[in-house]
Amino acid sequence: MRKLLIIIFVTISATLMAQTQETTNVTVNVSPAKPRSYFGIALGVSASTNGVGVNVTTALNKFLALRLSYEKLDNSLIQNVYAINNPININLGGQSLSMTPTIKTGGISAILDLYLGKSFYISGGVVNTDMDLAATLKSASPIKLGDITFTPDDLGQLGLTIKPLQKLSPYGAIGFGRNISRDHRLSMSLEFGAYYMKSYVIGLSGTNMFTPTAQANQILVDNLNTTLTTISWSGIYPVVKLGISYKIFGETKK
Amino acid sequence: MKKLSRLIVYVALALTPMLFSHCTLTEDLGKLKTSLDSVKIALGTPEFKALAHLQFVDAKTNQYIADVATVTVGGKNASAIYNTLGQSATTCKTMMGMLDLIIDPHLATALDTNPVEFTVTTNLAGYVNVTQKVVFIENKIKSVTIPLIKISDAPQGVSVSQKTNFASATNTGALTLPASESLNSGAQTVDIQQGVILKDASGNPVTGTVNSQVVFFNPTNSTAQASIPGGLDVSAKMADGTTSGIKMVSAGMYGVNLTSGNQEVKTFENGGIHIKTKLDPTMINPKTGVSIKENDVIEMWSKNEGSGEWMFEKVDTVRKVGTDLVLEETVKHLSMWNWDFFTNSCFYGAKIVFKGDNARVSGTVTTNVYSWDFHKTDYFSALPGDPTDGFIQLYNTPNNKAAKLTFTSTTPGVTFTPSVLDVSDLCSGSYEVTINKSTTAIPGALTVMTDISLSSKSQPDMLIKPNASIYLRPSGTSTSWIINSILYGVGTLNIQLGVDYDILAMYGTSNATAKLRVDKVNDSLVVTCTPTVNSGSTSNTVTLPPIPIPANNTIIVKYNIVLSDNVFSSLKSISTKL
Repeated sequence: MRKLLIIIFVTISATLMAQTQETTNVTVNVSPAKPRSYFGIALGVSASTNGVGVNVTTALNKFLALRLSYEKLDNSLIQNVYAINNPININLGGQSLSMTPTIKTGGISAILDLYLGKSFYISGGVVNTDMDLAATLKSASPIKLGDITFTPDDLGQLGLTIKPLQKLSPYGAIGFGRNISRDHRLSMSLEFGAYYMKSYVIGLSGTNMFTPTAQANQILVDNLNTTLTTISWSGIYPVVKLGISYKIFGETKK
Repeated sequence: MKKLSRLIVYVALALTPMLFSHCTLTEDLGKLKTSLDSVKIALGTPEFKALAHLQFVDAKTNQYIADVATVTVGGKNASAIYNTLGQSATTCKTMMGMLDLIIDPHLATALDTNPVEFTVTTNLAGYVNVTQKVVFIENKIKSVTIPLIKISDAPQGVSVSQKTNFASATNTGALTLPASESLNSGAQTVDIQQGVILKDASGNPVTGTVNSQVVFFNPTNSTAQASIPGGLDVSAKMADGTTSGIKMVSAGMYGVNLTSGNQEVKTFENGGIHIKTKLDPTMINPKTGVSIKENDVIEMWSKNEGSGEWMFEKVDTVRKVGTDLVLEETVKHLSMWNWDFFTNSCFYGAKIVFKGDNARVSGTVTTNVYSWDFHKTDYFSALPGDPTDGFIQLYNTPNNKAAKLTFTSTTPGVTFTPSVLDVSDLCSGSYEVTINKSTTAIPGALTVMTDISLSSKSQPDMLIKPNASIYLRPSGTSTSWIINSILYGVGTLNIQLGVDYDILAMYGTSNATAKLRVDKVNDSLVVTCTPTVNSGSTSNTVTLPPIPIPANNTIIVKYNIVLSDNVFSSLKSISTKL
């Protein structure tokens, strides 16, 4: 936790310092002759708890920018850094089970950034989330019934899913740095926010011998989902995002 | 200084919502815990869809044979056949005239492309031993009725003759004297000449006093023909060595069994056994379409007891002896022997697709070929849209034959449209049959939906939801047991109010029975159940509290059977030994 705070602090400081450097440059290139246009377009990439993404940011004026993003995170991406597809063996009640998580999140978003300062902004918008978290549980080894050997696939599996109650979710954040540089080509940002999916929806399913588990607990799952809708933080998806962008169109400071 | 103040503003902005928000985490977690308090672990037992439900009935009375018969499983895929507990089923015992066998579930899913076939040989004292071939082409329950001929009370048209001192053989197996036996006043005869050597399946001579059992099936008697073990629509090895589905029309079938002590005669040397039958002159030769006559030719077949397959032996000619038309032959090995006309059959016949109400119903389909003496009745369970029971596929039916299919429901209040279907070719085409469920309540009819679970006193939250077949029929009757599939504890029984029913469930080599009765008392229904435990003793009758009569005549019975920890643990090992 402490390390995380230090990393966040250093990142914020670096971001602010970078923007401060821009401020110094601004004083050198003041041109009173012609009013400056702040319109511009930047392309950026990001990495966040909602996935890795690409975005296009359009600065509408000095304070407002519209950001369209697409982010994605799934097992195939995570597998590059962590072997998420390798089942995790767990022991439950003396029984050996293997669990495989499936993570899918990301989505398309349209976000308006309001710059309250040169390196600080607040954001609001909507995200059409692709969030679909799942875990499958199956026997870790074959079993024998009489003289017939049943493989784990024969026995079936238990599936647990967490999905959003509403896919189109409002998003709010505060950010440090910029998603489109005002005076230069390159900019960085660090954003803290969340989108709100109204609630999480838990799903339980079973195949073959696990079918009754899902059937027997269906009412319970329904009750749980009802309870979740009464919990204020249910449906919140936290986002911490680090971005870098390059201004491809628009004026820069000479 | 300016940077510092800006940073303070940022931090203040970030902290404001956090400080002013109300922390509800503790109570939220409490809510979630309450929601999860009633979580249950429920596991199923393996589901065996491809199940052979064998019914052993007296060929004359059609009654289930209560005596315990020994059933030996053999044939091509015998190693893929198990009892319902997954134990290898090389030799099994019947229970109440029935036996359930399952196909290895790993093979069951590909039966449409790789059919599984095996034979069941039934041995029961006082009855003619029978070997019958069973072929599975669909991953579903297949009900097979095996008629057994009671030697002391054979069906009409089936003649049985037994001799305890038929012949005597020397140490080399050679008959000391000629031996003969005749049936139906000499219309059928069996003769063996002196000096013929008798040998068993291993080639050892059969010596001493030889007993005989000769069975003859009258070709002009439909009851006798229906009693032929395995029926007459069969798989056969043809003259060219290929295997083909054929439909036989018998001109005379023999079953000859010769034994000496534990030895059984299988082959002959230095001659053979001579079998002869007179033919009814009114019998129609299907090849010519007119009455059989001298010099007509007919194929002779023997049954391979191992594979259950009929083997082409030779072509015989009808001879005239005096005024009689006769068929006769000297054969070199003992098995069932049959003079038969035949027509080719297709393996996969026409397909019947069920439409209509999305409810499982059961019924029978009877196939009658217009131009041929071919008829058979098959049981089916239908559920429109279901990948397994949404259709039935006719199997081993005569080629290029138009036929009438008659559908009869065994589910109360259900009819089929059309109930009679004209099929132009039994071997091709797909036909739709619509299931209609009556919206009018049937007087006294009740649908009981069961939801069965098993648990134990020490593990009330651990449930086992069984997959099984439950058999039901009115008590004291000899009608066929109606198969009801229980899928993960859930099934449907159709019963009549005020009628006692016997319920039977079979697991491996064990069975459990119960009596069930639902009475209408005033405006309520009272369910009474009397289980019988494995030892055969009857437990106390359980009468459930009265329940109001439902408008749709359907009641749901949730039945949680609390087992002793020992029994539950053994069952749990089937479900959860992961």
